[in-house]
Amino acid sequence: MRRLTGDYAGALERELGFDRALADRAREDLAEYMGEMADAGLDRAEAERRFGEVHDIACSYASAALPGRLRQTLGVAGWLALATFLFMRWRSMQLGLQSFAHPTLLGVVDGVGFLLGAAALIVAWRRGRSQDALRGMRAPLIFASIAIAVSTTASLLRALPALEGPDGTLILATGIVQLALLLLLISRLRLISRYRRFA
Amino acid sequence: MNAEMLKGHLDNVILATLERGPAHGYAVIEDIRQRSGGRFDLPEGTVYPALHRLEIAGLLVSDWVTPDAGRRKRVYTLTPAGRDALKDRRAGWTEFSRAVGAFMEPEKPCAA
Repeated sequence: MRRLTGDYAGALERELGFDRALADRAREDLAEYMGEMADAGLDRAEAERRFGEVHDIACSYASAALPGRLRQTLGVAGWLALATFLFMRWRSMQLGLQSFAHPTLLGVVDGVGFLLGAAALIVAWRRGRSQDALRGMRAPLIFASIAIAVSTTASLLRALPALEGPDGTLILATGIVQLALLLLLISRLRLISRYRRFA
Repeated sequence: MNAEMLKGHLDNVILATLERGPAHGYAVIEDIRQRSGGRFDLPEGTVYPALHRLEIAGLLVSDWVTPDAGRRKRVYTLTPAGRDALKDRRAGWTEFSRAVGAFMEPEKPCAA
């Protein structure tokens, strides 16, 4: 347990440093509280004691923010799944790749990867309503992001020969959008993973 | 009453406090202290994350307000969803406390 020190604000900020927005919120709240205490003539050490033990307060902030962070992560994953599906369909139609009679390895990986990713997202969404949402959602979200990443890669590889053609720019743009969403999802997953130490 | 006992009810207490009107964080702490007669022994800092949680849940909104003379403060206001939640939680609490109360009443000695 971290002891209360004169550098209370710094200690709280370090505890919550993994989530910049949350650390800023805690710093603002603490500054407001300390201002009120100073107006009331309370010394700093007493004000810090009344505010609470640093780690406990950090835990309270983390558990307050986690449901919102999980919802945001699920939202990004949902947009990624939607973009992957729409762009996959568009590329397939545009390039005449949807040959169900003669499926290629990349085509199978593309389709199955997407379906597995979508199924994992549904599992994550359902588990998001449970008490221990962090533990329940993290694994399916990681699985979904891997499956959709594989699907996206396969889909782009299928479209690779057409990059030189008239639709090349659009194909590249869809790939960049998917990649950006995927990177955003990975960063969100890394962020919620850091909440585990408070779980 | 210790902090653990209050923990599960802090959100309800905060919602009920803000039902009276918008308030900043420390005013909420003061109101809780006054209305409880100082019985809630919880670290005052735990109120701020609870306010943040209720805001994320859409039950409160906050705005920075700077009075003519003084520092700027984050002022919290109950949303319509917050009022509905408070109404539901109040009904749930009344039912719960009545049920637990039935067990906590001392047994009356049997009439001889």
